[in-house]
Amino acid sequence: MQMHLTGVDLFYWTAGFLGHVALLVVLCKRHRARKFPVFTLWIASNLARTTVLFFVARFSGRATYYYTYWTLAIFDTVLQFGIVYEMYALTFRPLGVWATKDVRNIFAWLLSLSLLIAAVLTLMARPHTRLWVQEVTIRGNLFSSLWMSELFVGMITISVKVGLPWKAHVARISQGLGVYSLFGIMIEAGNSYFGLGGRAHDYATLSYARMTIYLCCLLYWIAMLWKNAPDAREMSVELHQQLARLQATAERDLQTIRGWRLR
Amino acid sequence: MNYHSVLFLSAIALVLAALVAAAAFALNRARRSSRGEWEDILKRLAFIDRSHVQEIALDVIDSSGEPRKDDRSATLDSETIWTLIGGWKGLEALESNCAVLIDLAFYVQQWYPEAVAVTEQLRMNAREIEWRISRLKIARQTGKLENTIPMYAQQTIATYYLMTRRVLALYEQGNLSMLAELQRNI
Repeated sequence: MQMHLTGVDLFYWTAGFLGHVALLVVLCKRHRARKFPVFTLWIASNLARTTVLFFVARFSGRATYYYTYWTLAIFDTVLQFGIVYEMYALTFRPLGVWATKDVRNIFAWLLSLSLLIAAVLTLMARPHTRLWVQEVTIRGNLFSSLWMSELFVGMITISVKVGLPWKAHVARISQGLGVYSLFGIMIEAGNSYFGLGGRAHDYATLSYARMTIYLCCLLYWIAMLWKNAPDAREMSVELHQQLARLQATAERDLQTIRGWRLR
Repeated sequence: MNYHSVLFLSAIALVLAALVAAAAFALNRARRSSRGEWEDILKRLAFIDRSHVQEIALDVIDSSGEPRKDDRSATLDSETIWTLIGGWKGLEALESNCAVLIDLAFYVQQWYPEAVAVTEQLRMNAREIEWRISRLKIARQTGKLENTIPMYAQQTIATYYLMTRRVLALYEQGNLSMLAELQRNI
């Protein structure tokens, strides 16, 4: 049985398609794709997903659509976590090496705690569904939104705590995804509460809300990634060398301090 | 709405509120550090007598940061060190000033991203200070504070002194106009 697409469905599809095309053009034309390969791949995959799902919805049955949708959703989630890694790497590896051991310890804590909180809340959800696969879907989405939000908020907090500033475009991409994930928690909590047991209307309303927020994020990224990041002041070779010497001195101080013993 | 739904939605609301609050707090601090007025950062410096810090630090290190090994080094006793720094109040001021020193270095990164290496070192110094002060607090609980003052308090103060020198050097090398005011304050 073919799916019936409403005018609202077609609007979101068209807007999503155009938004992704525009963002891809910006990423390529402004040379951001080289700097953010995973993010670019995610946007490209979303464009492909929008196109594939449109044709599947138009020319295939509900079952095919369902399986295509969720297969692509898994790929989408994996790529989103890839973006988290990309943003962490760009923030916490400013000089080509990962931040020091104490920061890595904070990462380990963040990973463990965020996984635990996301898992507990996901287990607490009891969505009303008719099929087990629907339940898995709702729980999976809730888990993914929770974990993503925690990781982005964790990234903001750690970067401020350790004094590693975000580069302008990293901040914009992270803010967009962070806000999208935070709203995602509310939407998925709503899905868990209303469920799918004969209340498909609520699910559709929440899906439209999610898509509206996503479209806003797309517009934000298009505008922000089109703009150039503020230029860092050009460093003279002499100043560069002086800073390197200062760093070496500060590092030596630290070694000396660590080597101090009781008199 | 049943009991379980209330519990679930409350837990979600709690986590969401915590995430939003943490993000808002961090973003606010980042804005103050990177975009805020330089004077605002400086205003956060708690008062510490700089001459006393220097006196305590130079008792165990020379001006280049190397440990002193001459006969006239390490002559200050625990009581003098403790009085000069102002006791716990002074040490706490010193601990909170470490965050300000990091923010001052962080501020320079707006123009010179490579300064991150210096900030990173200062941050590690600050962690050393935090750790040593925590050892002093433990020593206070076990009644061994006096014996540990030269080991932890004096070294904490020497570390802080070196941090202030590195921040000043950073501003000097960056040829930043705020250097004179900074020299008067740290």
